[in-house]
Amino acid sequence: MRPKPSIVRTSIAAVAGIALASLATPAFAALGGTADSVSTDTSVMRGMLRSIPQVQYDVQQITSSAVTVREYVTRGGQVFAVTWQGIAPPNFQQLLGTYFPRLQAAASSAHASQGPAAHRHFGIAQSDFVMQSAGRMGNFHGVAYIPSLVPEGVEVGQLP
Amino acid sequence: MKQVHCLIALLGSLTLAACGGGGGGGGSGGGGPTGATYTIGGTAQGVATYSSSGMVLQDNGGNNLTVASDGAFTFTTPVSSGGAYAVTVATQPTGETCTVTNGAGSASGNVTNVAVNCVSALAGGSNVAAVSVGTFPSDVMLQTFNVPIVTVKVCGTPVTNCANVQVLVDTGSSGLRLMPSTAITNLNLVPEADTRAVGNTLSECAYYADGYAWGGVYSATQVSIANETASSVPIQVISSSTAPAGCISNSPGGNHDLDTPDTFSADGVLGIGPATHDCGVSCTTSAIYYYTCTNAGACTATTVAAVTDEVTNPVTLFAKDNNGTLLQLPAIGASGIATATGYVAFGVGTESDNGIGTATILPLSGTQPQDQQPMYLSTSFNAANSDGIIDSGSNAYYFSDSSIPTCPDYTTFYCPASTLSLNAINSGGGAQSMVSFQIANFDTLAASMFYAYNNVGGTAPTINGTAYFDWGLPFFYGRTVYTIIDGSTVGTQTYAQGAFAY
Repeated sequence: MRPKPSIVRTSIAAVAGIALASLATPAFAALGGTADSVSTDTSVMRGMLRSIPQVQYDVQQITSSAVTVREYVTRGGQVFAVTWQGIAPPNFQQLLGTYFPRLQAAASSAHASQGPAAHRHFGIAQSDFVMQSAGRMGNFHGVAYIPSLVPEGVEVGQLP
Repeated sequence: MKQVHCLIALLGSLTLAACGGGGGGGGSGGGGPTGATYTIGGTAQGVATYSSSGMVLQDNGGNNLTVASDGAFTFTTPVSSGGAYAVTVATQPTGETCTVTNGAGSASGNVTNVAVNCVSALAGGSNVAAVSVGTFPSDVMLQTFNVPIVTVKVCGTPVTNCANVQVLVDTGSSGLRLMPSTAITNLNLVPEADTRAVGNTLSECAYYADGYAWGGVYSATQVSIANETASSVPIQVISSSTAPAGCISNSPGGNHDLDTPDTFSADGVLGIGPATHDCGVSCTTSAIYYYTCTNAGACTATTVAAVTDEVTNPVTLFAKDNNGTLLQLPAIGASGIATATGYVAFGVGTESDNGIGTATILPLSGTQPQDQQPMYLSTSFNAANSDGIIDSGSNAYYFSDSSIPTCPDYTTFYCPASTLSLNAINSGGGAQSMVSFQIANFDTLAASMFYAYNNVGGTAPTINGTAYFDWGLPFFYGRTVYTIIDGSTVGTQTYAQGAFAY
């Protein structure tokens, strides 16, 4: 992982102890899913899970050798955002859950248009599903979220 | 010109006599009175196309005249009627070679036909290939803007069995990838064996932000461009058959299969980025890009036995000039231009034409050792630090600025009401360099249907507080951009993770 702004690093350090304690009961779900419906993301991604509680939401982080994925869970128990950074992209079918078909549909329609195309960049901006993705071989990063579920005052781009 | 001066003089309340009087050198060409003098001048072309330094012209070995832009020029010291004049280039523009035609004679009137034409100093070099923006292979129907194309010669079996392929030249990736075609099939390229599974061959799922490219890894007996040749080059031949499910499910661009010329607006991509291998040592321990496939076509994700099995930046396998590249595109106007032609040169500081000169070298950094990505510049923009890359394979500046409106139809591009002039600072390895750039309204630009624009911008995500700044092809117009490959030495300095310089 690359260095983060110090304010974020501080917040992660401050909750490290809690994170370790949370390892025993991992609750992990795909975008839009509930934390109750414990998914198999961790095993599918062969990653290590840790939980980082914030004021308005919890962060579930899975780190594998290829990619670090974070899922952001509201106090109501719903995953409102996911981010990824790594040398390879994550398994989006797992990560986006019921929103995965949206990615497939948007990809098809975006590239079916015969207009000028964005090379190397791809985004979805629907009223109830946003995905921003960029990268190149060896370095992928992105975020997907459900606008209506984002807690008030939380800026998605600044999620820790 | 003289009339204009008179008009200005008149408006300036000077007397008309002041305007008409003096000097016998006036506009009457030829046969002036004894004692008349004539001005010496002409037209300059290409002075600022590949250089910003300007040039110094001389007449008769003196009367230095600095010319920094195209158009008419006139020496300040006239010559007497019948006097000799001889125009020469005293100082060439940095990176250009200018030649004078109609430069000498005797003046029998004002001389206006001296022509000074400047071309890139790279033109004609043995280590140099032309790069075209807006000229596409015949099988590309979807012709996107800002796609730099170069011709590469790929040889299979036997080594005399070769094809010229027009590919996108890409400083943002590493390795040669070719679209499937009959011509490529006919090369009889040798599939790369998986040395740990007898009978199996290697394939790869190469991800891009907007899709994936699935296909086999092959060894090209030779890959040549300009006068440079690499032997036994691992390349990818993209397949039109269905990719494994795992390749598709991990594609950030969904099921967008990058397996036709239209998806790249080219017949392949030549990755000449700062990495030697397309994955590096990560793929020797993680099964993320590579697959092992049986004869029957059953493919399973796998690690590679060694980084040398990976698709490799062909420049690193050249016999010489193998430490990096220069990519240079001409300066163009704010409205864009239909097509543009530039150059890619091989080697940095290895030949007379590829010296790094006064370019600022920005070493890349990352948290991983050599031959592992990611590798970044640090780009400071809007008072925030971003991870920056310089990527000729991206067709716009991609960065995050929520204050700039996006276009109503193409929501990943910016459409400001009026053109914005912006600044950012790239830094790396303790060096830094400010870049001024412009972002125009993409919808307005695109209406011209040109293929070269230097002021197109698009959005990039901010993730976990880190923004990303992709200096795409617009950055290359009017610049020479050096890419130094990881582990290479330029001069006495070795760049473990590679560097960009400009």
